[in-house]
Order: sequence, then C-alpha cells, then structure tokens
Amino acid sequence: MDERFVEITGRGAVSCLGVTVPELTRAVLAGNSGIVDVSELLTGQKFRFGAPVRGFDAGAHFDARARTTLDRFAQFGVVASREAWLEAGLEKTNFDASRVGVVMGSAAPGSDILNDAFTRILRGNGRPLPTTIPMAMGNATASRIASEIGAKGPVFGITAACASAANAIIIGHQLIRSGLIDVAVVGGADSSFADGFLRGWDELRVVSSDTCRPFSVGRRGLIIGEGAGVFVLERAGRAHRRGAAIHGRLLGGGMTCDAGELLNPDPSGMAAAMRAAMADAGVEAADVDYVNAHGTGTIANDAAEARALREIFASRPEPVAVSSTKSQIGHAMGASGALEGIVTIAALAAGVVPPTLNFLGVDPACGLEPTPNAPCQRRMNVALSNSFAFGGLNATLAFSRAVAWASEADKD
Amino acid sequence: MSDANTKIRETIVQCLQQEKPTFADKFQETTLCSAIEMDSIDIIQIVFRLEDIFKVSIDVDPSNRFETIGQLLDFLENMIVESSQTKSIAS
Repeated sequence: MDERFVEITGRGAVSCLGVTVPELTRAVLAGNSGIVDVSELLTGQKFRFGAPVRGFDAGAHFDARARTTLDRFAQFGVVASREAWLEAGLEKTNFDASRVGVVMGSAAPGSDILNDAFTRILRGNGRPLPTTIPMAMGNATASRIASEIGAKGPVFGITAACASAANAIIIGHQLIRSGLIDVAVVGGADSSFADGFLRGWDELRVVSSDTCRPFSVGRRGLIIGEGAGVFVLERAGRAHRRGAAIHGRLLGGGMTCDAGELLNPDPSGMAAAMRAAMADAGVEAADVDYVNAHGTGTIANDAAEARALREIFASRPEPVAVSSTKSQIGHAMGASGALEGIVTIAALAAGVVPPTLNFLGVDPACGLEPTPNAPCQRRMNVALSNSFAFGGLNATLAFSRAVAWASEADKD
Repeated sequence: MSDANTKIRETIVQCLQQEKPTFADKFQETTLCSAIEMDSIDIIQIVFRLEDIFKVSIDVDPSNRFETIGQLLDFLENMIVESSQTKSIAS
C-alpha cells in the first residue's frame, strides 16, 4: 500500500440543512433546499433570501465560558469537528499527539464578534468585550479543536476567501503526505449573518434578489450561506491497520492563482487548478465522473467556470456530470469547500448526482446543463470539487469512492 | 483595612464568583488559583467588570500568574485603589 494515500475516516457538518452529516447529505441527495426568506435578519438590504444555519443551539454544545471565548463561526467549526472526530473513532486508539494536526479555513473569521465590537463602540461609551481578539482570530477554530482532541502537531488557520476550506484540506493532505503527521483535522467554518457583513455583500451587488440558479439563464447572483465542514484525514496504512471505516479517499488537490483581477475570475486559472488536482491525484479527465462545481450563481463565476469545464472535459465522448450544491445550501463562504466535499463523497458512495436546483434553462454564455432540478443515479468513482475565490484564488479537490483493500498484505 | 477597601475587596470577590460560579464554595484567600481553574481569560473578564464598576483603568498583563486567590485579590485591590487615587489627583 502506498503510504501517500490519504483516507477520509471522519466527517462533520453544520449546515443550513442540518447540523450533522447525515442530515446534510440526505437532504442534498434528495434535492432539498435550505434557502429561505431571511427578512427578519436584514436591516434594509436589497436581497431577501439566504441559507442560515437554523436550530443551532450554542448552549447545547458549549458552557457559558466557552460561549464567551468562541465566536459563532468557531462554534460551528468545533461542533462539526466533534462529529468528525467521533466518527473517526481515534479517541479510542493510541495516537501520537505530535503527529496530529488541525488546519481550518475561514473567509471572515470573527465576523459576529467584530460586528458586536463596532456596535458597542458606535452606541457611545461602550467598549468591545475583552475576549474580542481571541474570538476573532483566524486560528480560533483550529486552536479550540486542538485543545479538545489533544492535537500537538501543526495547528493553524487558513484564509483564502471562498476557497479557504479547500485550501485547508489540501494543506492537511500535504502535511500527511510529507510524512510530518499521520492525522489531519481539516475543513472550514464561517458565520455570515452579522449585519455589517451582510451590508458589505449587499454593496458588492452579487447577491441574488431571488434565489441561486447556477449556470442557468436568468441567474441573478449568489445566496449567502454559512456553516462548517470538517474531515478527519488519515494516512491510509494507519487507517486500514486499525480497521477504521473509510468514507472516501482524498486523491489530491490543486491550487492556483489568477494573479489578475480581484473580483473577476479567469477561466484559465480555474482550469489550471482542475488540471493540477487531476495531476496530483494521478487521474485523467476521462476518469472523472462528476464535478461538484463552485457554481455560485453569479454571472461572472458561472460563465468562467463553464468555460474552464468545457476546456478540461472537451475531449470526452460523454459529458461529465456537473452540479452546484450552492443551489441547495447557498454559498457557505470559507466552509463551502468542506461542505461540498462532504456532499461529493456522499454522491460517490450513493451513486447519486445531486441536482442543481432552480435551473430555468441553458444559458448560452455557459453552455452547460448541470443536472438540472432533480438528482440522477449514476455509478461514479472519481469526482472533483471546485472552490474559486475572490482574489483570483482557485482550489480543486479530487476524491474517489472508498477503495477496497485487496488483501492483508496491502495493509503493510 | 478601611471600609472603602473592604467594600472594594467584597466587590472583587463577587466578580470572581460571577466568573467562576461552579467553584463558589472554594472561595477562600488561601485557595490556589489553579484549584478554581483560573486562567488568563478569567483575569481579563474580571478586570473588565471591575473597570466598569469602579470607573478605573486597571493595567494588568493577563498572563500574570497568581498562586492564591488572596494574592489575586491583593493585586486587584491595590490596582483599583491606585487607579482611583490617580484619577482623583488628575481631576
């Protein structure tokens, strides 16, 4: 067995479709949507719909002390990590704490506590809470997870806008492959419904006035979402020797930068990330059965991503299956790569391509029919999951279904 | 100890008890800070409350370690008294 292989032995999710992985994946594969009217959270923004995490009771997960030191985004990440760590079952094994790392992404760490700080100041005579800074740290989620599980290897946060989680997953993967660690807790977490953050998005004029229609004619923009997704990645030999349940394999990842415009994506950078991921994974375009697209629903992203997809998969006789989970869970920002990764390996395992909801028809600017409106069955082995970010950052993850081990000899 | 100092000390104890309600039965001057799991976050939370109550500015490094609750109380009491006096002189 090639020790460079990295298995997924744990998964955790906090999402608008439920605060566990089974709730999220069942809902997504069934074609349900978590996009709702969020008027009660708004203060005059031009949009009305969003995909907030509902039913998240911080008091059920954290005592009063923890709630005053963990901002909402970090609470999401920690809760997701607990589900992932429990599923991995590592607490029952002897592991070398110095060979366990944690890498968590976030696009806007501390958005709630910073909003709270500015609100207090602007009220007059108020001052920020004394825990504002540790709550807003980009590594707040990773540090707390490390404390809870006892990880003493490399622990840090990553920020790469909407590609934060995908970058964190790739870096965790690389840390294992490099031989530095055996286990990586990786993913992303973001909380997106602080007033200042929502107003900023409103002014950027990319939020849809109705819903999220990736690659569709009539699409009007993205839908703001939030949540957290976490994977436990484990060196393959170790995972199999201890008899861990395997939920999929992270084959590889690709990261590129457009080195160009801040907000306008470059199809060649996107295509380069997909190519890099496939090269890293050791697969060809012909091997890829499904692409979980970045597919935000904005005019610019979807046209650029569709062009990149056409370029990569043009030589295939059969079109590759494509869909965008953002039509179901909105754009979970720095968590999106992890949540969509969880959906991607669930799709591979179930043999179901999740749908792109709200699709009205093929937009000639995209020329893509992304599994419109209903899930479809398809046997699949390999999938890509794209995360593209403002700042010209592109990241693609390559997954495969859980790979059966041929013999005991393979375990050595 | 003056009445004013007694009052300050009582208020500090109340703030400590608010911060560490689960250890309320252990609040003696000789109790080790480690026995009530006092850490740097607790220190800044308590100082924040005391600054609001006494309208003073308390200069404390949250990484300071105090062995006993009595030592912590002494430190905070002195800081409040000194800050109050400085404020009086300045005004």
